[in-house]
Amino acid sequence: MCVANIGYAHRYYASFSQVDMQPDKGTIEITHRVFTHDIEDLLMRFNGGPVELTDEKVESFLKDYIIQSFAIYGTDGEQIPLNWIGVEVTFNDIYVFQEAPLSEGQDTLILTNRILMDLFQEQSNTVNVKHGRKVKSHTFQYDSKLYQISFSGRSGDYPIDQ
Amino acid sequence: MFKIKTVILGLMGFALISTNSYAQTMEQLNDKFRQLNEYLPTPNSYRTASGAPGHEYWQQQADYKIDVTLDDENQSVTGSANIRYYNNSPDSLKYIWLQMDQNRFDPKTSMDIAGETVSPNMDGMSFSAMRSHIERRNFDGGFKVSRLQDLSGNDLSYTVVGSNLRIDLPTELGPNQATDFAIDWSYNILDSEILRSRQAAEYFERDDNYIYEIAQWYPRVTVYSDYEGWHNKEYQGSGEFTLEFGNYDVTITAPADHIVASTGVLQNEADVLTQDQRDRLIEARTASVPIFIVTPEEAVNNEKEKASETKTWHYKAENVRDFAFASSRKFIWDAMGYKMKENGETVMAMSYYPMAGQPLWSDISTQAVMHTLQVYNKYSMTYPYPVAISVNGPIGGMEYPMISFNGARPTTHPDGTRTYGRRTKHGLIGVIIHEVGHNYYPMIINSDERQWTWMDEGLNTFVQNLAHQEWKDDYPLGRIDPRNITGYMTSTNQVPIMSNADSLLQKGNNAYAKPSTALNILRESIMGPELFDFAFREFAQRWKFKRPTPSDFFRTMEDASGVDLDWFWRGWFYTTEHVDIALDNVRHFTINTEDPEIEEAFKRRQEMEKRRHPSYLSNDDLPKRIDEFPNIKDFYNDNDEFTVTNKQRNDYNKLIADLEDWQIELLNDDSHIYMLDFSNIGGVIMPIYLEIEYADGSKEEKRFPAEIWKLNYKNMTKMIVSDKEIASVTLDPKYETADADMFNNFFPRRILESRFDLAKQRGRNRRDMLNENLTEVKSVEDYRKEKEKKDFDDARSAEGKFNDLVKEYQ
Repeated sequence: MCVANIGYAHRYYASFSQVDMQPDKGTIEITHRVFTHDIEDLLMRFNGGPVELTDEKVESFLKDYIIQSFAIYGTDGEQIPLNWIGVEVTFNDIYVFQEAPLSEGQDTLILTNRILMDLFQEQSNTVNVKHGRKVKSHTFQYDSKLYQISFSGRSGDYPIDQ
Repeated sequence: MFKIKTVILGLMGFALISTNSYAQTMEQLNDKFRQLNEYLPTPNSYRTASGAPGHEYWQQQADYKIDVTLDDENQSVTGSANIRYYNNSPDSLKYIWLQMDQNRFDPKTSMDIAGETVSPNMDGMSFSAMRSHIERRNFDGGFKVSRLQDLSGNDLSYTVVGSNLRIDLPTELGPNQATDFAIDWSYNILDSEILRSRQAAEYFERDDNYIYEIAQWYPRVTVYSDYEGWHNKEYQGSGEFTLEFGNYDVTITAPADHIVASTGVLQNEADVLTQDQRDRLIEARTASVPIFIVTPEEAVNNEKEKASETKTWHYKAENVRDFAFASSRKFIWDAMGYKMKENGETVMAMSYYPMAGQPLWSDISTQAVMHTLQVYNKYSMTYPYPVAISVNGPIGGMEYPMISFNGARPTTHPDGTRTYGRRTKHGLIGVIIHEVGHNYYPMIINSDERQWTWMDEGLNTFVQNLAHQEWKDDYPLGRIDPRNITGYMTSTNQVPIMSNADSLLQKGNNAYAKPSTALNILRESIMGPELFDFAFREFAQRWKFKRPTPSDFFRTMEDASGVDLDWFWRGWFYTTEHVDIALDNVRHFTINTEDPEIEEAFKRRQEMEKRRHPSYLSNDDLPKRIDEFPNIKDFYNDNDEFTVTNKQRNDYNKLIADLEDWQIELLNDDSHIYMLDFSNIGGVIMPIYLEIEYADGSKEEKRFPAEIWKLNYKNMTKMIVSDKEIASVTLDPKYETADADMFNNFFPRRILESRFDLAKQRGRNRRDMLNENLTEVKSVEDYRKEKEKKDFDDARSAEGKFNDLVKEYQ
C-alpha cells in the first residue's frame, strides 16, 4: 500500500484546536482545525481504499474518530461529554465543532489530543485553551498523553500521569 | 482656545479618555518603532547597511567531478569524486570541512538519533513509530569512506564528527588558492517506509521495481562564510542545507533500462537514448504542448524485464549549489521547451513519473513547471538554468537545483484503475509550483537553510501563492490568508520566526505560514504591490548566486522601498506577540461656536434629553399652579437657565471682533468631530483600517499607517472630522491585519457570529447542497408531462373506481 502513504509537499503534520471556556455563556466551545488532505488520507486508511470526500462522509467519519482522539476531563478525572455540533469542509482545512457545558467556577481542564497521531508519527497538535481574555497553549506530540491547563492561579499547567 | 463639545459620551467602560500621558522609561525601551540595531549585525565591506553585498563580498566555490553507480539489487550508491576547492576568502585555511549528510542515518554517530527525546510520562507509542525507532537503530546507514587522498595519491588525514568530516590539509590553503582532493564512498539508500527523509527508494510490489530519488548522496564541501566561518552545524534532520556554488561533471551508472533524470544537461544522448527519443526531444523543444520522450506504453514495457547490463548517463551543471537525480525503469518522460519572454532563452520543462501518476501527471506536471518559471521570473529573476524538472516518486515534496521530487498522485484501486479528486489535483499543482519555485529560493538566492527555515520556505510559499492566483481566479488563499494565522499567533508556546531551524516548534506555522502571511500583508496592505514588488525583486537581483542573511532581506526591503519596516520585522519576526487591536470607543463632538444663541440652545437640548424619568412625563398633563394663579409668575418662569443674557451677547461680539476671518469661519463650521479610542491588546502594532458607515447609509474607507502608534503603542485616539454623522465604525473590515479578536473591532459593538456560532446554526437547519445538487434538473416541459401523466393516471383511476362502484351496484 505504498500509494495511500504518499504525502504532499512539506506537510505540516499539525492540527490546531481552540477550546473556548465561556463562563458567561456557561459553555466550552471547541473548534478543531485539521488539514483536509490529512483527513482524506485517514479516510482512505480506514476505508481500505479510495474515498470521494463528501461533506456527509467526512462528518459521519469524524464524528466517531474525533471522539476517540480528543477528550477533556474535569479535575475530578471525570470525562466531560462533548456534544457534536458539526463540521465545515473547506479546500485546505476541515473545521470540527464540539460543545460542552462549563460548570460554575470551573477554571481547570485536563485534555488529551491524539488526532492523526495513529497516522503520522510527526503529528503535533496544538491546543489553545481560552478563558476570558487569557490564552494558554499546549502542543501534544505522539508520546504525550494528558495535560492539565488551569486558570485558577492555585493550580499549574503540567502533564498528568495516568 | 478652540473648543469642542461632547454630544454623546461613549459607553464602553474600559475606554481611556486621556492618551497623551508622557512616555515612561520602560515605554521608551519598548518603543515599537526603534530601529533593529540590537539585532542587525554591524555593516562591513562584505555586507552593506543597505542590505546589498559589499564591495569586498566573497564566497567560496567547489567544483565536483563525480562517477556514481546506483545498485538496483542492493539499493546502494557507490561514488568516486575529485573535488576542487577554491578559497576566495581573505583567510588562510588549515582544514576543510565536508558535509556527510548520510551520517544522519548512521546509528553510531547520528546526532539526530542520539538527540531524540520522549516526554517523561510516555507509556506507549504506535506500531509505526516503534518500527521506525527500531529500524533506524539497525539500519546500516551513513557514508563509508574508502579513500580520501590528494591528487598525487597521498592519503589525507581526516576526522569524522557526526555528519561532518574535517580534512587536515598538509599545507595551509591561502587566499585565492585552490586545492584538489579525491574521495571514494558508498552508502545504503534508506527505504521511504522507515523514515520520511529528503531522498529515498520507493518499492512497487506489483512489478517488483523501485523509483530512486537520490540526494545528499556525495560528500559536499561545507560552507565557509564571512559571517559564520565554517557552517559545520550538525545535520539533525530538520534544518536543511547550507551550500556553496560550483560546477558539476557527473556520470551516473544505472541499470541499462533505467531512465535517469538529473540536475544539469545530458551530455551523451546518443549513448543512452534511442533515436526516437532524441528526435522527440528536438521536437519537444519547440512544441506547443508537452511531448512524450518515453511514452506510457514504453514505460510499461520497460518495467516488465530487468536489464543485467548498465548504462552511464553523463550530466553537467554549471553554477549550482547541489546536485540530485532520480532513476527508474518505470519512468514516463515528457518535455516541452519554455521560451522565456525575458531573454528569449528556452528552458526544457520536463516531468518523469510512473504509470501510477497517470492520467494526472501528463496533464499537469510540465504545465505547472512552466507556470512556475513564468510567475517567479516576474517577482524575482529570470530563471538561469537550461532545464526544470518535476519527478514523481516516494518524496512528498523536495527541491534541488533544476530538479524537484513531488509525491502527489492519483489513487490506484485494487482493480488497477486510477482516479483522483480535485484536492489531489490542486495538491499536485501546489507542490510542483512550490518545489520548482525553490529553484529561486534558496537554490539561487542561496540562503542558509540550516539556520533559517523561513528565508526559503516563507519567501517561496509567498510567491507560490502569487502563482496560484495566476493559475486560475478562485484558487483559495490558504496559507497566506491573515485570518488563518490568528490561532497560531495567539498560542502561548511559540518561538519567534527568527529562531534556529532545528529549534522550531510548529514548523509549518512558524516557517511557512506566518512569514508568507506577513509578506502578503506587506504587499497587499502596508506597502502596496508597486513598492513591495520593486523591493522584493531588488532583493532577488542583489543576492542571486550569493548568500543573503535575514538582515540583508530586512534591510533591502526598506532600502529599496523607502518604507520604514523595523516595527514590522520586530513585531512579526522577532516576537511571539499577536495582533489584536480594539476599537474601544467612538466619542462624538461638534464645534463650540461660542455664539450664546446657539450654545445655550444646545445645552438646553442636552438637558431636555436627560429628562427621561417618568415623573417628568406622566405628570405633565396635570394642571399647574402657575396657570391657575398667573400673577405669581416672574422672569424666571419665562426664562430657563439657558436663556441668553445680554452680557453673554456682548462677550460673544467682543470675542468675534478680536478674531480673524478664518477663525470665525472655523467657529461656524458645523462638522461632526469624532474621537476614536483604540487600544493595542495583542502587542503587535499594525495600521488602522476603518470602514465608516454614515447615518445616511453611505460608507467610506479610511486607512492610517502603523505610525499612528508612534507616541503610545498601547492606547491612542484618532480624531476624525466629518460633515456627516457616523452611524458605525468597523476596524479592519477586510480581515487584512490578522486581528485575532474581531469582537472588539466594531462600534457600536455587534453580536459577531463566530465560526462556531455559524456551525451551530447550520446544525439546526442543515441543507445537504451536494445531495440537493445530485437530483436531476427537470425542465418546465418535464413537469408538464409529469402533470399530464398524473392527470391521466388520476382520471384512469377515477374511472376505474367508478367502474368498480358500478359493478358493486350491479
